[in-house]
Amino acid sequence: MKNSFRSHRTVSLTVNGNDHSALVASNRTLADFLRENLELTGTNLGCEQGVCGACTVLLDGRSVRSCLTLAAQAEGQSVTTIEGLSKQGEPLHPVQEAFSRFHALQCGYCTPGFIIAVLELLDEPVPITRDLVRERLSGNLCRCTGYQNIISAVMSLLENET
Amino acid sequence: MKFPPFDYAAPSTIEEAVELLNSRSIESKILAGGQSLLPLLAFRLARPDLLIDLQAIPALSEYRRTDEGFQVGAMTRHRTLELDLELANACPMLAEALSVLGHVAIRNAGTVGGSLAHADPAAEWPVLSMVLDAKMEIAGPKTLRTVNADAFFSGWFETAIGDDEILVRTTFNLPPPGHGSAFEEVARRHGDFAISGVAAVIETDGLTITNARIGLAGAAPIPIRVPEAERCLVGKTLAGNQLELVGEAARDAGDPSPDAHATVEYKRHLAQVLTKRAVSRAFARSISQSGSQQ
Amino acid sequence: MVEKFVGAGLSRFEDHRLVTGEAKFMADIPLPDCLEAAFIRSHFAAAEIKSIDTSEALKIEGVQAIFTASDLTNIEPALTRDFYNLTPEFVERHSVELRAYREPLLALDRVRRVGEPVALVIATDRSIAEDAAELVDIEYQELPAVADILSALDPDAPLVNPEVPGNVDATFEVSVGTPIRNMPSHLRQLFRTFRIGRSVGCPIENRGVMAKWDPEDSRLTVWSSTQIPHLLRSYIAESLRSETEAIRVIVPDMGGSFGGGVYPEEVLIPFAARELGKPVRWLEDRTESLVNARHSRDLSIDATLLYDDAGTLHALDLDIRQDTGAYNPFGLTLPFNIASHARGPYSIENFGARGVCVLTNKTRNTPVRGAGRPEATFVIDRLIDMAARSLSIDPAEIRKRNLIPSDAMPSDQGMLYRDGAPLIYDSGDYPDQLRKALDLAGYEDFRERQVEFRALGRAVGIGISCHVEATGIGPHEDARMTVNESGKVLVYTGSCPHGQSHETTLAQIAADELSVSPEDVVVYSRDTDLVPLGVGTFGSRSAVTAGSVVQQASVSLRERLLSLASEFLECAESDLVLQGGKVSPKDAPHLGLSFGELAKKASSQSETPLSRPSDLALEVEERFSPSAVTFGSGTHIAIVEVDTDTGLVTVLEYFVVADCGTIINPLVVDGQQHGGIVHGLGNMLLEESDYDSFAQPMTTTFLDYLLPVALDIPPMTVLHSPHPTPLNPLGVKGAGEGATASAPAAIANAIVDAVSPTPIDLTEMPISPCRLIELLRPSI
Repeated sequence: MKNSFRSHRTVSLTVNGNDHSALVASNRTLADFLRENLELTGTNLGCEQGVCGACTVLLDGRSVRSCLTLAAQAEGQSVTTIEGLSKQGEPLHPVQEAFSRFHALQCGYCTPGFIIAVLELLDEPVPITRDLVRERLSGNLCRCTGYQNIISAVMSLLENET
Repeated sequence: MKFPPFDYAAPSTIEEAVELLNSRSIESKILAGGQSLLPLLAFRLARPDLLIDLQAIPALSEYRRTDEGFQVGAMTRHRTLELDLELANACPMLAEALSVLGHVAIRNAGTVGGSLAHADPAAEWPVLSMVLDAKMEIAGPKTLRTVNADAFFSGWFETAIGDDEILVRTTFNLPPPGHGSAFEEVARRHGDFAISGVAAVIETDGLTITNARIGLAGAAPIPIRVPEAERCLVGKTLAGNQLELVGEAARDAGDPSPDAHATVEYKRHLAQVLTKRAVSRAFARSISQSGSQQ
Repeated sequence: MVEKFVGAGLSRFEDHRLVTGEAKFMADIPLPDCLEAAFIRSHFAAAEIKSIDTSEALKIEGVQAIFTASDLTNIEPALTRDFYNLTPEFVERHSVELRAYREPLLALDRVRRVGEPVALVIATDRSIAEDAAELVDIEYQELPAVADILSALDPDAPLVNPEVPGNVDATFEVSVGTPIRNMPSHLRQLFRTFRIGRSVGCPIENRGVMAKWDPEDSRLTVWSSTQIPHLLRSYIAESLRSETEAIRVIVPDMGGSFGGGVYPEEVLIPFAARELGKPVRWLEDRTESLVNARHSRDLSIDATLLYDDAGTLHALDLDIRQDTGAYNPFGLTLPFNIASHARGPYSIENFGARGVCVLTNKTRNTPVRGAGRPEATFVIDRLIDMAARSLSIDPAEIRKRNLIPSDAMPSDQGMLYRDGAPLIYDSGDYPDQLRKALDLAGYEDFRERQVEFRALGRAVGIGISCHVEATGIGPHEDARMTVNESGKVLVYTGSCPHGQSHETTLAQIAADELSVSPEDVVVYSRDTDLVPLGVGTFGSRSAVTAGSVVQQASVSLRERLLSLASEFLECAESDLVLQGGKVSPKDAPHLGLSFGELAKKASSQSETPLSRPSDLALEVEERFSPSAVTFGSGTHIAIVEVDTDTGLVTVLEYFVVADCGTIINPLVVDGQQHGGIVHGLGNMLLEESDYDSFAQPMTTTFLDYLLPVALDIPPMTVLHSPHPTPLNPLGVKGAGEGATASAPAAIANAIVDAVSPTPIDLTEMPISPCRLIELLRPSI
């Protein structure tokens, strides 16, 4: 067999405001690091090829596919996952609350990825129209909701902001 | 699938990166944004022994506008250019191309250099580099050489970058203000790989076209220009059946391959349709720009 | 004024854990020391297995075991139980012939499709298991394969299964009224062959199975992404030659499903866990899922429609051929569903259908959302539009002339449904539904707008589809209800939600009957230890069956509460009132007892104080067995624009008027409508699971199999026009699949209308932009 070694490296990064350092295989994805090393299982894996968006997290404030990011590439950076939006027992983040209010989820598997994408969308430096919302959300797949309620949830957040 | 095993290095200089690429008798691959490479690893279609991550080399992330256009270090993310609104105004073709390049999450991680080195003929940056007369700077163990875009792409996912070399910077030339540009693409869904794409840059003097550059994505194993179409336009205005001739030249250009979503005939048909659209819009933008120049 | 919860758009109780990421999907459940599995699957569509050499693979550090078919001694090495229970009357009435189903867990000496499991590798992590899988050396001798219906039916075709002659696995026949060959010859006739492509259920979560063997009590706990935990438990017990009581099936939070059955993996992983004495987990990846799970549709339908010059439909005749893949556990379910829904809400007195399930060397065909209804609706609504065009009648007008009028309801369709009961449209007003839909969509105005669009060079069109949907199939559903000492009402039900919001909707039903708040009702499901009896969630059945049984059980519980309170308060039941979680004398509310207090008193009165906590006297068990399916219906109207240069289709607007019977939660039902519409849109414009002529799957990644995205969807306007069914006390009908039934047809009809200056013959689903250009420009 060609590759007879597995190399490891120590990766240090901040996740949801907490510092972490761990020895991981070089080929470990950020998604698997979050889910398995840190037991933050809110980030879900739908395809592991960067298309479905269920694994989306924020890396230094920018959305990325954690399945197409090596844990090693996140060295020294700051990651936000769905678990970072609200603490147990505390009120939900406005995006989470809007998703529930508008029935923007059914099975919920794609939802963490959508919520992270929406966080970034709300900070877009351009005017956010309904069409832009639809375009930006096109990077996340949902099979249950048909998207309409997700779009409505996001539009409601924009109205609240103005 | 899970990635096959590999080693990982994150050098902090270009020299170190080149040395790593060459110093071991194993297979190494350059890791830029990873948005093209990592899916290959996910399907176990590539099994490098070592990934050399360029993200820790500051020089490679430099991006600047110049008098002639702009320069991008190989690690400049697509999103960095997308957020340069001045560039978008100066060259709408770029904004249009970037808006359909994957999705924001892909553009945050993916890089211009990575996209050029990956050399998917249906991708946006390869065809943009052809119509913007890009020059690629390639670093090897003892050399730093420059290759023009029209010599850079050599075949399906193949470039002039040698096994011991790294693409470090690309310089793009924008025509002087007063030009018009447009990008057209057909994909099954927004952000998907293009079935066919066209980039057009038109310069005019009054209503007369002084320069035309038309590039096709997805029409051949490499991105191509359409000199027959360009010749149709230079020295003329866009009237009569000029646009038809341009479209026909684009339809007949290249050597498209069929795939799951498209027959050869359909790809040729799209090249014709999209070239006409791109040229019309680029021309309209150019003459309105020239108008505002006067 | 007592607040009613049935009909209220409550936010869901499920949401909190899902929006915070706290939900535990299969891959999130921590199981200490769990091993990981990877399957080795055939990459030939048809081959003999000559040898399997696992020696090199076994040397890899971390590999625990590699199982092949020869290791499956002491268990049933194949799945043989099928997914249909046909009554003898049905079999006779519809001339059913079925072959026996047998699908090996692991292929022994022959593979019949790409992706068929051949070996199972168990290792300490998935990456190692995959590395080892690559080293297993399997020698195949390739055989010729059949990749489509025509090839499979060719007299010289190789046999997919040597025991199934002609590759014909199942047949049936339906005949209502006059056979088409005896119909008057002066009638106008349309004949078309419709091609429905193969599509995939494609939930965002892939399948998974996890199992743990407890040697102390000799029990297996199995977690699986199934819609039918009780049936699965029986299958596993039978296969592993165990008692059902020794198996516990738990369904975690599940990321959608859209269709299923029982798969070999669901038996093999528990087997491996028991053999190794260690927990084992298998998480499917996306490519595996696209190749192996929830394949559906894939039919060729020859259709003949007879009609007269006034546009009245006289007869419909179908030859339905389904590409059922290499194994057929669902028998004739899908093609019979097509026959059952083929006439839709239209009055067509003479109907004939013959169905054939054809074996090919592809993945097995499974009913997936819609399950024949989209295919049937596509055929009839396309034919009706063609008939309208031939007569220069507007498509809305021809439908008005043919929809079953309300005074003809209930309408017996002259055949049996696959549950064995007569197929009767129990309630609905189809002409009224169409009228409302035309109004909602501004149909009249649209025709004027269309003239303006055409003047601008835009090809915009409008399309109509009317469907019926059989929902709430039996055999039954079960519920147990009790009250705990904190006063919470506990519901244990056999439904198996995977996005359908049962924790909320069933609570709403119970809350109404018991005059409590839904927050005080807790719904448990998806665990065969907690809920020993049940059937599951599929075929749009849960609102009807689980809803009805919870309603029944709630009524029983209410009676029990009253009877207990009457005893403890020494008061006649007629003098008691239930309100706010208390049972009180009408004229002395302060003397009432709360549900919790009643529960305490009931358990303390029990004769065996050491009995299990669940042995409260305050407990009821019910079963609801529907006498027949209940028919929902819907009229869909789509407005689309076709870019006639590129073939790209944009759905601009979408309108639905639906009859889902009594609505428990309008947010939930509308969500089902939206999801169903977009699923149907995907089926019509984007989704196809393709095989080449060697039966090699071509659609193996998410860039090949295209699900709709947010930019693909139109604004969807849904209006409800419910006609509660008399078949259950709440009057509910199912709502999960109807929207998928009409969306492809409405969009297809709109496409044809949009390009109608260039008439095209659209008889296929899906249609790609490339294919649409071919239809529009045959000369290119």
